[in-house]
Amino acid sequence: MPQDRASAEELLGGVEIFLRKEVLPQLSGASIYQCRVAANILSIVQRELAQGDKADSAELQGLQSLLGREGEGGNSAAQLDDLNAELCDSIRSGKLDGQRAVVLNHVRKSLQNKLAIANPKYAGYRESLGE
Amino acid sequence: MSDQPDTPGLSDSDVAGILEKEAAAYFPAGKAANIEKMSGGASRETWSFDWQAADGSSTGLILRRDPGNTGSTGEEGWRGGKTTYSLDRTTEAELQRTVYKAGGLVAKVHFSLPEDHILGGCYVMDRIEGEVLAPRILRDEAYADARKTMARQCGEILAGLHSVDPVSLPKNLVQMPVKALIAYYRELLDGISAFYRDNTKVGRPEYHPAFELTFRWLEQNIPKNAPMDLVHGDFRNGNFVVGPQGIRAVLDWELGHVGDGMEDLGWLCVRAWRFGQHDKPVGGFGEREDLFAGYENAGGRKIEPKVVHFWEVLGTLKWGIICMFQAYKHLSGLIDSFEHMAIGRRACENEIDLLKLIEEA
Repeated sequence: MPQDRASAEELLGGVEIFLRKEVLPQLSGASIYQCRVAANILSIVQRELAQGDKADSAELQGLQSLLGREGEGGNSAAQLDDLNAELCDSIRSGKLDGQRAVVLNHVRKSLQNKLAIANPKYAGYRESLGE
Repeated sequence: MSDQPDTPGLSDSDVAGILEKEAAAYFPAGKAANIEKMSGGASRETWSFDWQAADGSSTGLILRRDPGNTGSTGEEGWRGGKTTYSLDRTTEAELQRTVYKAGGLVAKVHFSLPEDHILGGCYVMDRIEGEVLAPRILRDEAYADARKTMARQCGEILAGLHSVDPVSLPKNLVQMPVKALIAYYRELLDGISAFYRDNTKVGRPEYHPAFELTFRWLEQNIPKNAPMDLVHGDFRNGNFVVGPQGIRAVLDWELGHVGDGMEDLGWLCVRAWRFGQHDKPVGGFGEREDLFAGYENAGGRKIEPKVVHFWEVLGTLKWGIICMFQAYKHLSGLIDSFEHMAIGRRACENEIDLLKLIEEA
């Protein structure tokens, strides 16, 4: 049975607005910075709740087509770890040197999805989208 | 900050009292005034004071010390220990003295105290007045002229630094040629990932294919015949004292080592140090052409832009892994700081930049 409303995202959004609108104006000194970081963390988690599953399954599909296998482990988290371990080892050993363009493409797409959650305003991310 | 435990049993007023006594033993008759603990500096404690001599003259001074002289604050620690190339305060003071003698733009060191002193290893140097905060240096009108000259000036400063006679350097300065640096960050990345797999509730390692691609690229592009110069190790906006005419002093010598001087030029160009001024590749204030011209005209070696690019790539990788390390410090219990935890989510900013940097080359 799912939890009642408000949803996790809605709850976090409410707290974030409270921090930015109510708490922040009353602070001074180092706690201004800390409060901003706290509010930013809540917005990262909201984006992760909204987009995280989609980003993970896109990454899994990308890895499966790049490495030509499903990945061990029985659930998608374990498959992701298994395939990412192979990807990293194969880059490290030079085994994927000949497929640089395909590898770069996959890694770029995964990173774009990651940054859309972690920091969508980041200039390097906007540039990588061609903006 | 919450992650800086004070020395057990040593209050701020204890520190001030001992400092005054030590200063009295060094300076001509007089007294210490305006003793004040300053904020800033993540792993170091910085105190400001004036020595007012009996003849009426006053000298502005800085004390630089480690907050706890027993154990690590975590700031410099990998698995709680020291990094392989972070200097203790005594050696840092000695290095600053060497650079000062060679005519470098650095504060004069008056005296230093050994590691076993009650204050811990520490030293007292001239206080150079000016702005240190990078965003102000990059945006305030007062530094508009400074910004125009700083790239060239950085080249000049580095040319001088890299020509310091190796024989004059502190004996225990670490040699960090490029392969040793790469190996150091390789170990840090693998160690953090293994820690997450084995010691945290999530129980999963962390994978960074863009870092792997970068390590591979670095291996294949290692500069040939690299010299062994004195390297500052953290030469960037944020470690400069700046006045309206430009840089007055270079701070923070604790990552000083012997290696390829081009490391300093590449690090200065890393995107994180542009503080949002992305169109100015040199520290957010200048152009590479000016940096290189300043370096060569001041007697530095002929610059190979490809080599500086190599070091910018390695610098961006370093910063990305340091972002991971910040989160690790909280998650492993070395420190208690939710801000540090959040920095872990910034590793990927460096990864997306690295893809571009290794494709450009």
